[in-house]
Amino acid sequence: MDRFQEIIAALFEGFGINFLLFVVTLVVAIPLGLIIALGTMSSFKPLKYIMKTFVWIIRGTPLMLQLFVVFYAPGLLWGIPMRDRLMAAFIAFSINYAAYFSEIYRGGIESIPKGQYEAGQVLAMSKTQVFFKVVLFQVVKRIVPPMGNEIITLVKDTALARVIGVVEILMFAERFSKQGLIWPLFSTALYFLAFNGILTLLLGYVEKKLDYYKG
Amino acid sequence: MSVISAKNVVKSFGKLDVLKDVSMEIEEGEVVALIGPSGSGKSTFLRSLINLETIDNGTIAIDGQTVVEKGVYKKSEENRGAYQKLGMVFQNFNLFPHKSVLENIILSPMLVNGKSRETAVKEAEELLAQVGLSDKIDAYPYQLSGGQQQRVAIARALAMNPKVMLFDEPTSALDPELTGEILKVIRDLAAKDMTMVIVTHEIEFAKNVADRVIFMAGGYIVEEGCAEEIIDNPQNERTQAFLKGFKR
Repeated sequence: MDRFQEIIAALFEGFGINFLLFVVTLVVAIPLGLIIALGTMSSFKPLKYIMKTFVWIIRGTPLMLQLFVVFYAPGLLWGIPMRDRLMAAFIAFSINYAAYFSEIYRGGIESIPKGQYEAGQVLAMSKTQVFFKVVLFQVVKRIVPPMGNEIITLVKDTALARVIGVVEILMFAERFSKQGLIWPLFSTALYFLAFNGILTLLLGYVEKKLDYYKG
Repeated sequence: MSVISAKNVVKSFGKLDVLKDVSMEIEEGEVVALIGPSGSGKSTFLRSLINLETIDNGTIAIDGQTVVEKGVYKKSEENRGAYQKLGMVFQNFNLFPHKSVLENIILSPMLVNGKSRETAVKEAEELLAQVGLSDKIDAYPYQLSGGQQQRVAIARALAMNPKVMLFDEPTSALDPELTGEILKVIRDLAAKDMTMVIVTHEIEFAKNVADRVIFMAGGYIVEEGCAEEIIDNPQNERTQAFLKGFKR
């Protein structure tokens, strides 16, 4: 029984790393994605194409590969080895998710009818005022469902960090497997399910909150 | 002095010449109806006045201030004040769906004109009374009929104290039984000597409320004059053909 509690606690500790990676990725990627989205929609052509190429590369290659690149490239290319594995995971995940988020933002921003911008303009608002006071909130409502999808995927993706040796829940569990105990590995599913269950409720709540208007 | 003066306005969308050479003077207190077939350029002309379209050539002055001279625009900061003298009402209302009726109306007065919330709310309440929607102050646009939404849109435009109101087919998106309430609001504004330029397909309304009717076709002004004259006794054959379509 003591052994059981010990394993559950160890897995919980491991999941703490997944949770931390999840939170940091969201905190960085949500605003960074907006900046990238505005870049891909820029009327300044060079910026637009650089940003579009960037998004293409990030979305077009495996996250696992990106983790390897962020972790090993600094050491191999410039002789400055990345010592902090978790930091490498933060960077790779944030960039990867920012690229995905940027496309969701872009879709949301482009779905706002032209009439909303025109109404703002004829009411003498500046472009910035129109964006922040009129457009952005409507975008938020429209992107909650697709963002929710990505956020739930992120929870599961955090397990990928083990490929560069971040000691997250799966890596913890595997240690027990090596000692001949297989159930801890399978029980990690419960942590992911529980956390995603909470997130699903939370996202449903946000959607409901934003449902006070239609359109 | 005319409050709006447009001279030789030219505008094309790619290869399509929408405005070929349009000149128009609008006097203070005047109500002008722009009529004509679809694609005649009347909406584009109206939108050009308030900078929703950029013209290729011509000169536009608002309340004596030239915003574009022979196709060359002045700096946008210099033009801001001039464009602020114009209010605009759209065919599709373009209310902000996430804001209540009150918030739709007070947003710009507070944000742009720096009015206090108290003042802005008080003015909004007066405007809503004027358009007969005092009871809808806390409603959201989706809860309103098209006619009610359009009346809110008119109140919202009026909240910026424009000198001239531009209406771009204000009743075209409405069910026929709802057009009357919009036309009444416009008629009330006319009675208060509001200067208005109205693009419309409501010929009878144009005749009743407008001081002057301008008939456009193919990117030109074909005929203009006092309302009864143009509508009851058009001289140009294109005007005659167009108006014949409305007689039952």
